[in-house]
Amino acid sequence: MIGLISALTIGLLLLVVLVVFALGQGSTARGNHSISEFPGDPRHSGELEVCPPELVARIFSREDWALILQTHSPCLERLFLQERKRIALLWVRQTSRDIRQVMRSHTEAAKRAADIHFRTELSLFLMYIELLLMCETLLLLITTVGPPRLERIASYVHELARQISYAHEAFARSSAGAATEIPTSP
Amino acid sequence: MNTRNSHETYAGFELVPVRDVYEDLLRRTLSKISSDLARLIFIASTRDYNTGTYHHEGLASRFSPEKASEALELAHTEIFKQLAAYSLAALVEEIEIYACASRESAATIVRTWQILEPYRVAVPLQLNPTIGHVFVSNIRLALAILRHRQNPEVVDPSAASRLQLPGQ
Repeated sequence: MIGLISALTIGLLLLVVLVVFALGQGSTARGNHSISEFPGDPRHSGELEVCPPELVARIFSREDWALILQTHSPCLERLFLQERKRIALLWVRQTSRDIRQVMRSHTEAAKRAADIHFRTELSLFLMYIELLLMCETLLLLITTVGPPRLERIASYVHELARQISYAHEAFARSSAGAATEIPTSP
Repeated sequence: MNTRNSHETYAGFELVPVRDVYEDLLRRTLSKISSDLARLIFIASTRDYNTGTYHHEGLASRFSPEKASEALELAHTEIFKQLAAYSLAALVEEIEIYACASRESAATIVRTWQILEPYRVAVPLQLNPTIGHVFVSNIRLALAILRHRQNPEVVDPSAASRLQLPGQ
């Protein structure tokens, strides 16, 4: 009985990983089509610039939606939802793409690192899986429900992305520090 | 604060941190401009579209052309990020203040901006593209709100393609 439960748990975990991987591939493919109009992307030089939280709040803002509703103009309402959906989808795809890039760098750094904390790595990986799932959910919700109702979930996704990014930066810094401490042979 | 005697000089210019140049720009020039949107447009207008570098005679003569350019770039990015996070209500107000300070009527400015979208050139070069998209989208929405307020009977206040340029 215990064997069966263990097998089921492992199977379920593998399924989740497979689903996330498949979803991730889909996002990457979609994301690559949205070429930016603004070429000066500092992240092209390897530096990750996370969107400020107030900007994420603005994209999903209820306050702006309330202002539009006050105009009683169906055209303005349509324009607002169209614009905010476009921007929100762009942000989610960019976040998902950026965090995949961060995790790729992290995997590379972890391969070279001498000292790895299994629990920390596992919790980082679980956060990553959660973030990818949340991004896919958010993409679905943006197109169905609309951005003005998703401010909380968006700020949660932003916070998760920020935490993963910071965890990787801390790991990279400590690895670099450890590397400089290794004595070089004469 | 007197920084004149506390810094070394190189080729006749003081070696001061960019932050100091930026503070000088804020104090002497930007503080005299009436709104954040007008400040953004002013800073963006100091940028050479061919090279992406910024030029400001007064600042360059006080510090150095390179420091002036760096400070202007910093100011540009900071003010742009602030404006991108503005609420639509605040952005509408910014456009109104900008229109009041100019010699043209608000209706003319709104119509022209909807057609030409000149605010697109105000996007800094080194920036997370999402911030640029948010700014452009929000200005577009703010203009549509203003146009609706100016003329509530307009069926589609965002329709720029059907509008005519002023004077046509």
